[in-house]
Amino acid sequence: MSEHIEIYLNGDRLQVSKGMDLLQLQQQYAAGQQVAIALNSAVMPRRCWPEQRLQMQDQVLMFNLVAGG
Amino acid sequence: MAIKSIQQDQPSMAAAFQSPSALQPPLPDPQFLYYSRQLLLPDWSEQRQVQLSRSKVLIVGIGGLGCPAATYLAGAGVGWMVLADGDQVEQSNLPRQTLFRLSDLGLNKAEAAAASLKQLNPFIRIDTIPHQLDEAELARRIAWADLVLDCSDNLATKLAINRLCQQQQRCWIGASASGYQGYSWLIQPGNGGCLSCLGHQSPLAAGGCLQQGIYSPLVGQLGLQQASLALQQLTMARQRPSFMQIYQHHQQQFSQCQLLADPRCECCGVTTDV
Repeated sequence: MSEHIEIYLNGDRLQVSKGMDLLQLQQQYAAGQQVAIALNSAVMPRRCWPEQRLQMQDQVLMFNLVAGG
Repeated sequence: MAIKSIQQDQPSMAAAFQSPSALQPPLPDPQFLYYSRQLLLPDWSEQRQVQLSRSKVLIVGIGGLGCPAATYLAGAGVGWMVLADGDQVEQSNLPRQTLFRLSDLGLNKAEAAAASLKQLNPFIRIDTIPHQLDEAELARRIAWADLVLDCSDNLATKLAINRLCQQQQRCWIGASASGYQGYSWLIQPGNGGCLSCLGHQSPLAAGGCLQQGIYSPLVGQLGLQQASLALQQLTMARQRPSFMQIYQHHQQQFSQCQLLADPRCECCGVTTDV
């Protein structure tokens, strides 16, 4: 049985697998979408996603890339 | 010459106009009166007002973001603005592009906006670029400006501004919106990340208003944020590191986030993969 931790994704409480990184989170919850991710009030470069493991109570903002104006 | 000064079209306004460099404190009475409510702010001063009057701002795109941004920068007294947009005013623009009226339909957006702004503040200079900027001209305009506002509606332009501002170490302020989603940012080259650090390089990757629609109050809010950030940037000595303000529709609030640099970023990174 896998261990889980609690994080907040766009304000909603969420249980995720312990050790999950940002890339896995994106693949699980926004697969195929062009998104950016902010972790604890810092927008993370996409290249850093696989290295960034989620921690208990992390605050994650995942938002779609848009270009209108 | 493509650039046309509205001042040339309005000789009566020319008398009221003083070039920013000629303006010295104290402010002339008409300007003191015009800016009086702003001057009452505890952290504002005539000196700060004069500093603003000497500022040069390039605004790329005069649509849903550019209209509110330009309105409030003109009203605040930015001394010299260049408005760039090659599009014409269309009926579907009117609900959110508040500088335009039905009588402006078919007119170039930059020129229609400049005419409207000149009615708002006769003490500033406004020039227009009524066509799409190519990269060489964009680079020249960025070099001229103290600050660049990206109010464009496409990722290709945003990435070009990002790259050229990085090359010239010029601060720039941008925003994007589509549907109920949107965010603004301030990029300070050498102090935090840039737009390319997000890792999205394809101009086709991002959705726009034509596909997803647009919530007009949101794009207006983002344009006002750009204006507010610009006023701070132009008149305060402190340099802020790059950051984003992200709109969360379900909570109807903005979250401010630092924009971290990617050391391997193709645009601003200091290292490259071997």
